[in-house]
Amino acid sequence: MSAGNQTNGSTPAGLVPVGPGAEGLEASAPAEDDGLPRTVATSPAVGVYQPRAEGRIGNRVRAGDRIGVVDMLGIPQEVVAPIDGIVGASLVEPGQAVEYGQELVVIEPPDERGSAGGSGGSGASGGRATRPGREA
Amino acid sequence: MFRKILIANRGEIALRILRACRTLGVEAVVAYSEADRESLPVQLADEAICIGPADAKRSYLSAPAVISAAIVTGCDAIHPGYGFLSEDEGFAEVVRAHDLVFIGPPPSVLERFASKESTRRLLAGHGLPTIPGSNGILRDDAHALAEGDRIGYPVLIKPAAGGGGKGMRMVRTPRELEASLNVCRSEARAAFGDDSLYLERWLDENRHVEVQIAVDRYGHGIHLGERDCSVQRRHQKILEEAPTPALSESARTELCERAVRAVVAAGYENVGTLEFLVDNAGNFYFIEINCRIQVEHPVTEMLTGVDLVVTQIRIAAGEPLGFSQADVAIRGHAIEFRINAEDPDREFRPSAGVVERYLAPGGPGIRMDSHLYPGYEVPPYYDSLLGKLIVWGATRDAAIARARAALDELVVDGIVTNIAIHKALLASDVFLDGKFTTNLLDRVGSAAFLAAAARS
Repeated sequence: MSAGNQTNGSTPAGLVPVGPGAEGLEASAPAEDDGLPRTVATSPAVGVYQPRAEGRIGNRVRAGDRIGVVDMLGIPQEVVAPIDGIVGASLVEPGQAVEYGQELVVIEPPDERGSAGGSGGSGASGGRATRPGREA
Repeated sequence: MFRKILIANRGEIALRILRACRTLGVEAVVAYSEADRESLPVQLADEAICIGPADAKRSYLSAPAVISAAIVTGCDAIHPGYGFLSEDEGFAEVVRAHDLVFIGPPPSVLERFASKESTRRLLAGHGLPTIPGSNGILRDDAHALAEGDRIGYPVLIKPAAGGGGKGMRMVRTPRELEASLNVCRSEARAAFGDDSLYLERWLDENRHVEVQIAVDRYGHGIHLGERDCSVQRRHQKILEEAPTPALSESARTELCERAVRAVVAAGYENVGTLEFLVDNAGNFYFIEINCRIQVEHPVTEMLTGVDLVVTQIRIAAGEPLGFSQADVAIRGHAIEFRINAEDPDREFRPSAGVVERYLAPGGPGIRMDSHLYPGYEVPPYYDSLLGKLIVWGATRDAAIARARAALDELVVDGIVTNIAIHKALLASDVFLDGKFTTNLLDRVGSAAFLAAAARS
């Protein structure tokens, strides 16, 4: 439970978006999972996930590249790479229903790839330690 | 009956709807924003799905997000609760276009009652008295001034599209009217996406009395008595009770019977509430209809034993009401206290933070509808309602005595609440005498009111 919101009390109408996970993770810090740096592209919407060709495992991507789409009632919402890196394991199947903020695709920093030993197929235990997705 | 219902709301009403689903044996999915991940309805739900960020525009107010969540979780109906998308006829229409059921009136009925101004004329045509007001929507400033002169000052400027006090102003002179029109238009446009305004004569001393009705698809309608919501602060209700102390039993019966006759004749469907102003002489005037479950519905549930949320879901599923007016017995007296995260000592400024201790009161006739738990962090993004304490007693005095004990038992530590204002109300002669009017708290000033209660 993160510490107080008391300072926000004066502006109830001024809505401030927060990123996935209320833990207050710094947006620029890669998540640590089992000691390995690991960053995950998350879902920008509730809907049905489809990967793009650019999101194939092993592809080199830049932060902001579109690697998949979540179809929200016919409105495509882009899944973007949160950092420069290499596309790693997909944590969901094509055509799977996903919720907002759900972890979709692992992105590994390029220099970690060789030493990380296996491109992070080891599951989605990252919990809330994810990065906010962005709407297209 | 539905297989699975998506609850598209938060806080105490999400929990209340979840409980109704359990009663009916229907599965429920709670749709939540990121800010509500740790909330009680999410924890207690059969299933929960995150639909967007804390910003309500991208979560609870996003029709595509809500409907998409219903589809991917296999729901066949959506309960919108109150606020958010609950009275948006456009949303109800899109829900239906996706072969889902909107739990509330059907879209065509919502559309018929969408404009407050035309609803007023519709129900006047079915025998309900209305406050003298402008002839239709104000076309421009000149029309407004002409209508103001015709009606007589003071007048109330009201938006046609919505409620909750937004875009509403009482003005005492033509000059004030002219100066306020643009502000009201922009407030109404911001709140409801529609800046149509109309005028009503202002009743200086009035009480707010509303009638709970339920009408099934087959035109069978009943009323479940009235509620008095005269204790308000800046057009926001803070305490509701029933029966109203303002009217005799025969006057109450007449009001309720006329209300249900009018809405049945006008083709209403599902649960709803007709709001009236009652003047000093006991005359009542219809002002608007609310086509949703209301915050204060438990007052009626305590008096009648009818589960209004279950009734609402059943009607939306096409079931007949299953009981008649003769089956509705109104027993005793009930009072609801809205427990808000607001600081009475600082102009009711909303507060947020972590609930350190929470203890709900108990005993005979006591009901607490709240999503609080110790350790819960109240997010700052939404309305300030923390819960509702509802008390029942065989008489008004008995209910008040139970309310005093219950408010003393209630513990909410870690965030500032408005409990003090409720204790002050129960110490005030004007409330105890049943004489509260809608503008009393604002006229006296909350600070003065609290101070007077502290002295007594």
